[in-house]
Amino acid sequence: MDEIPVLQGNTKKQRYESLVAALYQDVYRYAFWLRKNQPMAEDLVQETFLRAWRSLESLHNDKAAKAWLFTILRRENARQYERYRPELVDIDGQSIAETDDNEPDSKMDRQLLHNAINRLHSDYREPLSLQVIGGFSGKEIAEILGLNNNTVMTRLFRARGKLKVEFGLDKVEIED
Amino acid sequence: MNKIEFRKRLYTNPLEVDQELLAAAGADPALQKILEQTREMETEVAALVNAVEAPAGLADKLMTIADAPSTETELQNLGDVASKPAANNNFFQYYAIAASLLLALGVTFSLTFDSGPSSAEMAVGDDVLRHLYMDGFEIDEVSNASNTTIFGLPAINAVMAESGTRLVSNDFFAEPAYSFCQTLCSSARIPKRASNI
Repeated sequence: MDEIPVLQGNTKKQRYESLVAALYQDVYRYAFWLRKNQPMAEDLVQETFLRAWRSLESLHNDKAAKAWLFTILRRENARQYERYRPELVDIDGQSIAETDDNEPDSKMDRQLLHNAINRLHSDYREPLSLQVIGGFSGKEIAEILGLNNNTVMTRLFRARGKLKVEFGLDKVEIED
Repeated sequence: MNKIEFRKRLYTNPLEVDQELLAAAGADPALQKILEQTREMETEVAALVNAVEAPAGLADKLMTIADAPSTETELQNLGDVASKPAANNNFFQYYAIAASLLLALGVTFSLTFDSGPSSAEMAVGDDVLRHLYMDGFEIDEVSNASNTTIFGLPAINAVMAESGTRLVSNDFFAEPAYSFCQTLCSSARIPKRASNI
């Protein structure tokens, strides 16, 4: 797990700015994989940090800052989803970071992997994203998602099982 | 350890496996292959997921949330509105209380002093009841046509003489009068000038 950020500063503004600097990238990444759309993810992140700013006094344990932000983001996402029906977007058109231009096969694989992750049901994609992006433990993921630990473990298992089938690493989906 | 159990534990977090899993993979080439493939895929997934970068300028936008005066001002103004001039609030509050009290007093007053029928009206009612009770027998007799005595004007005037009155003619009688009461009307309120006819 990433090093736990400690909010710096004595004033509310200083603590907030240190929170943003430390976590906005991870928060955005999670929002991106949640909404599958850059503008919507950006909007979601802004709403999340606005709410975080307003309720910063309620964050008593700095070590829980990341989980706290991710929880706010999920709730805001649910609230926005209830109000707006998201438009279908071409996920294949979403840009992903290029790591090696000299290996087109690698890029295709990454695009395939990108699409495979996006095709995962949100029940599986969310805990996977929380673990990979946030580095949260099964217990922390369970708290963020409001699930029990066993359910989280099962969903992580199925998420990776589905991805392996997509890439031919497993011939059939693994059922527990 | 069988493959199902191995996968079940491995897939929950491929990059953090315990010694038991490592030992099982070491002892079984098939499990070792599963371990390596899963870790390779996990590395690719992590690299892809974390390769997403926040748009340029997003951090600055987020920082300005704390700077934006509108946020704080809105919150402050909301607080000011909630505690608007106490004088105005008190005036309307007292006005409302006074109006409510007046209404309550009015309702109470009307209910308290509405005494219902006056004593005179009550007396008339009593008299009517007495009239019916006392003269009821005679009334019933005539109603049942059990008393068919026909009285002429002299006989009627003989009764009415006790009240100091008399009928001067019987023209207003459409039919012969059946005097069902040769006594004065028992009504106490009616001056003793009446006869039940």
